Amino acid sequence: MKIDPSKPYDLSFESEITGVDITNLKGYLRMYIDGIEYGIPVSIEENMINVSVPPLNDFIKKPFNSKTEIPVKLEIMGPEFYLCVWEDIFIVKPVIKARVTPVNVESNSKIAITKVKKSSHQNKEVERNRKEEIEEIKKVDSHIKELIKEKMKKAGLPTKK
Amino acid sequence: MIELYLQSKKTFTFNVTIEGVDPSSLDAYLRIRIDNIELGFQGEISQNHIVVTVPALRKFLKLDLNKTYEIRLEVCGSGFYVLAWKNTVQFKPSIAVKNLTSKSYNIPRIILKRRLS
Repeated sequence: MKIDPSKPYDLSFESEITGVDITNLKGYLRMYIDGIEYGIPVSIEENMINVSVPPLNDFIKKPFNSKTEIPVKLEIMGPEFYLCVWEDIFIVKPVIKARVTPVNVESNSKIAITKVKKSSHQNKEVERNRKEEIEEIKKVDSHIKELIKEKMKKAGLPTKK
Repeated sequence: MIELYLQSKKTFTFNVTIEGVDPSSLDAYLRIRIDNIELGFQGEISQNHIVVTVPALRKFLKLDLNKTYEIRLEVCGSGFYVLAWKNTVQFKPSIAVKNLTSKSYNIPRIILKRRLS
C-alpha cells in the first residue's frame, strides 16, 4: 500500500471474532520506523476493525524519503491473548517538492517612456541657474550700454535717454 | 514515576524469570502512550533479563514536559501476551550530567509462566 505521509488514512479490516467478548480486546496498528514502533489504537466491532491513521508527518519529526518502506502490522490482544492478524508494508509515495526560484525572463516587449518628470529639487536647481544667467546677461548688457554712451560722449554725439 | 531526559538515551533492565516457554519465541516491548500514539521500543530477552534501550526522544517527537505518560512493558509471542510492568513517565529537558545514559533501572522481579495445556 502506498501512503502519503502528509495525509490521514482510514483503514477498515473485515473480521470475524468468535469465542471472546470483544469488549475485552484491544488492538493496535503498529508501524516500524527507524527502529521505533508507532502504535495507533484501533476500534474493534463485531465484524469490522477500524483505524484512523493520522498524517505521519504530524507525529514523526524526521522527513520521509520517497519509497521508504514501513513494515506495519495489526495486533489484537486480550487477557493473556495475543494475535497478529495482518501484516504488510507501507511504501511512502514519491514526495513532490516545489520551490520558487527567480528566473531571468527575456522580454521582447518595447518600453516606451512618455514623460520624464524632474524632481522638485531638480526643478529648483534649473530655475536658479536660469535666473543667474539672466542676471549675468543683464550685467553685460548694461556694461555695453555704458561703453557706447561714453564713446558717443567723447565723439560729441547726442545720447538718447 | 520514572523520569526520562529528552536528549539522553536510557537503558531499562528488568529482572525476569521465564518458565515454560522459549524466550526466543517472545518479543518484549517497552511502550509509552503519548496522546493517541504508542511509542514502542523492542527489548532483548534472555532467560533472566529483558533489556530495553529508549533512545533520546527529542529527535522523534514533540512532547509536553508538563504531562505524565503511561509506560508499560509488554511481552508477547506464540499467542501469549502479558502486561509485565506498568508505571508513569515524565519527560525532562536535558541536563548536563555525564553518566546518566549508562545508569540502568532495576524493576521489581516479574515472572512469566506459560500455562501448559
